[in-house]
Amino acid sequence: MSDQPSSNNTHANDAGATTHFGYQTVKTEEKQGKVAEVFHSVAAKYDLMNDLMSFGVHRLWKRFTMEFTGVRPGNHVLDIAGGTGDLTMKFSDLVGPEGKVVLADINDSMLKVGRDRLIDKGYSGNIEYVQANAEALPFEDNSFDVITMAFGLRNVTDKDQALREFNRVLKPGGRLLVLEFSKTKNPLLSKAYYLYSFSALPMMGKLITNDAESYRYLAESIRMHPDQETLKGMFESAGFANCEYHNLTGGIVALHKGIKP
Amino acid sequence: MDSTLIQAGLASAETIINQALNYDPATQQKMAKLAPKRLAIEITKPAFSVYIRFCAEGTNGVQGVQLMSHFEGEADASLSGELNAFINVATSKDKHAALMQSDLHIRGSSQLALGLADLMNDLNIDWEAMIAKLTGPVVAHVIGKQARGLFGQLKKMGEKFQDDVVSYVRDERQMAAHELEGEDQFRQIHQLRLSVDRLEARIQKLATKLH
Repeated sequence: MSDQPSSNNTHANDAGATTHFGYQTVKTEEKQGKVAEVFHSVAAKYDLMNDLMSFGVHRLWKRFTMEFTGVRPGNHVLDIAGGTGDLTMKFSDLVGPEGKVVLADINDSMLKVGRDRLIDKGYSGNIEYVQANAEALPFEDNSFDVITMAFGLRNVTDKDQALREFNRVLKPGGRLLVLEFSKTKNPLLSKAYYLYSFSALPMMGKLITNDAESYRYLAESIRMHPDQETLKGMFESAGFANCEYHNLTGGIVALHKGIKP
Repeated sequence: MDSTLIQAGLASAETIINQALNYDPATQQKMAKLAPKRLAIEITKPAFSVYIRFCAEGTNGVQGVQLMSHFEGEADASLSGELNAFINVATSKDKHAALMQSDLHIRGSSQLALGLADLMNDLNIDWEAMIAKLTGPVVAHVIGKQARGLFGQLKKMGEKFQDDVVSYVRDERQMAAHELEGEDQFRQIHQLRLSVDRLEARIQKLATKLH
């Protein structure tokens, strides 16, 4: 793993107007466009690729996340970077007709795939679709009971700003749940995971979506994402209380939770 | 244990239970009436908790139960105790009575816990219909007939084995008292306990008078 750049991506903007796009250093204003290109490219086969890459385990990670949401009928939920709507679907059943779920994503291709999928499955009435940037949410203060972000935070340019925005739009007592790839402390698992993500993932991407580069970015962006303790600290700095995280699959993924005081 | 493995186990169990309930519509409907209540099963030895959420039909057609390893908030009812006690209740013929007499501790709505025990008593899954979906009705009937015969024989063998063990332990080895003797003994102990309680109350009354 010696070829991994050593940098702390939690302070991406400290070095002037540059940030990370995978292992590359790019201008801050360019990252959003580059991430958008990746997701425009993979949107159509996003679900299939998720199932293949994780052997279906991403469904178990999301299932675990749902257990911590504490969503009740009538609640307002924001599923930011909700992509193809896996969590939105579950929230829609839980909040009922009196509640509301907002499926938001910065990428219109992903949002369209998510909207079509939910409508095809018969979900309507309590779901709104919003194209939104996590760093500048188009919602009023204290609007939501729960915010979830599954596998989206690592693609955000200014993660601290996004966390502050989540804090702003959450109601007091509301909770933020961020499910994201993280760091495993098991050296064997870490090695196997590194080999898998840098050799198998781009190959699968090439075969299924004819786009190896997007999946190379996925592997690199996972490496550059802050570890569990760093992200917990970022939650606290953004104003969240009772911050905690739960490792899943040996720490390959972690679920972070914070409450707005 | 890693939470992913626990989730895998719960997801599989949930699918099996809900699939099986599709073949007992009466129980499925009764269970849907318990929605959206939550029951906590807290096993103390080995320490493990499962939360059962009863679901009415949602948009995606899920009806039955949802199993969770974690629940935010208070469950409507909880059953806690050792794994053995849960197994005893689950395998007894009258689950309602077994639950009442068991060492399991019920908190919250006892009606919910007892309601579930009643549902399990009435559970009557049409296994033949389940097999018929895979093999067709003729093959399913033959398999069903053979299986019923086999289960009947196994049940008889089990009952005979139990009788033989009881007779060996009680009559031949004289290691245990007869059921009637035992009941008489327990009745006497109960009477003695009541008498001791009464005596204790009288002594306390006298002590209060003296002071």
